[in-house]
Amino acid sequence: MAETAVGNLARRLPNFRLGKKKVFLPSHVITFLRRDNQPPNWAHFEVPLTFTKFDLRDYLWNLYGVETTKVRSAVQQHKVERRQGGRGALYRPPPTKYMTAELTRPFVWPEVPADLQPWNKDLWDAREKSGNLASKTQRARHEEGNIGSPSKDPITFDRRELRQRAQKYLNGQLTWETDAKLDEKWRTQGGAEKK
Amino acid sequence: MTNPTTFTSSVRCVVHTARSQRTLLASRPSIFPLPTTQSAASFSTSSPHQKRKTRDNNRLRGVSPLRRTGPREPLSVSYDPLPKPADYKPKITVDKDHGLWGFFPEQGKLMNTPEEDGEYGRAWTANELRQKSWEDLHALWWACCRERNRLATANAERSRAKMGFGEYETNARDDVVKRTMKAIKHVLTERYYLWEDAYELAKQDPEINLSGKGEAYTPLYEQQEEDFLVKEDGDVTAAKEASTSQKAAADNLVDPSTIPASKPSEQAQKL
Repeated sequence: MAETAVGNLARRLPNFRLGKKKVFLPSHVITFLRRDNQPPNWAHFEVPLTFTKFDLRDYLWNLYGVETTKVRSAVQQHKVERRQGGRGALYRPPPTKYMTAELTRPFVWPEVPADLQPWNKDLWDAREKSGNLASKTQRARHEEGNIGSPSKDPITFDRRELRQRAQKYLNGQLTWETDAKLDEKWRTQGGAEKK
Repeated sequence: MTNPTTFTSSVRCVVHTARSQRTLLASRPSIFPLPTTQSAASFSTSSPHQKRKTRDNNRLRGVSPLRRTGPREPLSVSYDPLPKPADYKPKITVDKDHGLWGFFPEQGKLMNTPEEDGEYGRAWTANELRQKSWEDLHALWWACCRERNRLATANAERSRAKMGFGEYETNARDDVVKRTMKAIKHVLTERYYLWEDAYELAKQDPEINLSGKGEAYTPLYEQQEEDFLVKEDGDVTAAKEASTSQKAAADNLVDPSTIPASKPSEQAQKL
């Protein structure tokens, strides 16, 4: 397939001078990224750090037959992270390189499908929600130094009922009684004797 | 010490300019209704109280970017509503044969569902690829490159749009593609080692010419024939025999590829 494509393109030449170094077996992976707020004749890619602007230009031409007029590049640094799930040594992950190619023919990304049932979106959302809650308490414990307390959690029905009942005992609206038969020593030492 | 002549000339000049201004105003079509009895005044657009009075006539007194005071004079601000940009987005038609569709499963389709991406076979094994030519292997490698780019694009877009599951299937497919690419490199490395060994053997082979000039492969029986002809050059009596043997050599001089497999083995036995 690629052979026929290369054969067809050999007759057509781009508007730029192609590189002379022949790379027969490239093992790069480039990622096409959606940027809806950019002009339609721009295409944004994540490329390997070793890529140059000329590399991307020739790669797009040789592999996809896409003609470009200009390429911009940017390298994004990442935040310092810890190894071993946040407990190990500090290190900075290698940066990411992005390139924006200006195309001769405009390209607009297709829309995201409205029905996401094939991707099991409902289950995904539920999973994300519970995961977010767990990660939030985890973050509070490790990063902010606050140990998560149940009293800081949103008030549940059971807790509200219990609180109201306790308030009634304190106000004297309810008296504390128990049917359990106490030992004689409790009767003599406790408040029951004083009454 | 003012010279009376200069004084009078300057007065005349002032009077002249005032008169000329009056005539200028009268000649212009008036935008605002001016009272006809009004005498011409010096033209100024700034209101009389606009100039701020500071203790040292410093225009910038009290103006500080650090304290974000802003300018101390009233600015000419209009109460007219600002024009808003039109809500217009031009519709772009993308060519059907645009090369960037190669980053997508097909033209106009954003990405495969996890079910579609999960339907794949196995990787090419090295044993299967050993039968393939370099052109085939090269084409397969570039197809693998395109597929890996497509899968990486789908992964990025799925996580960006928070579309849901599907990363597992995509990554599993990517692993299979990588295994194929590994097999291609394996086969090509094998071929290279074989070529190296063959080169070492060819150095000692009298039938093979590695100098790069002339025929690369000359069978030994042809070489013997030529030597024989050179030796018998002056001998007239042997000429007849030579001609007969030449005929035999001509019979042997068929295309080497058409020689059946049994003949080279006979040659080898002679050696």
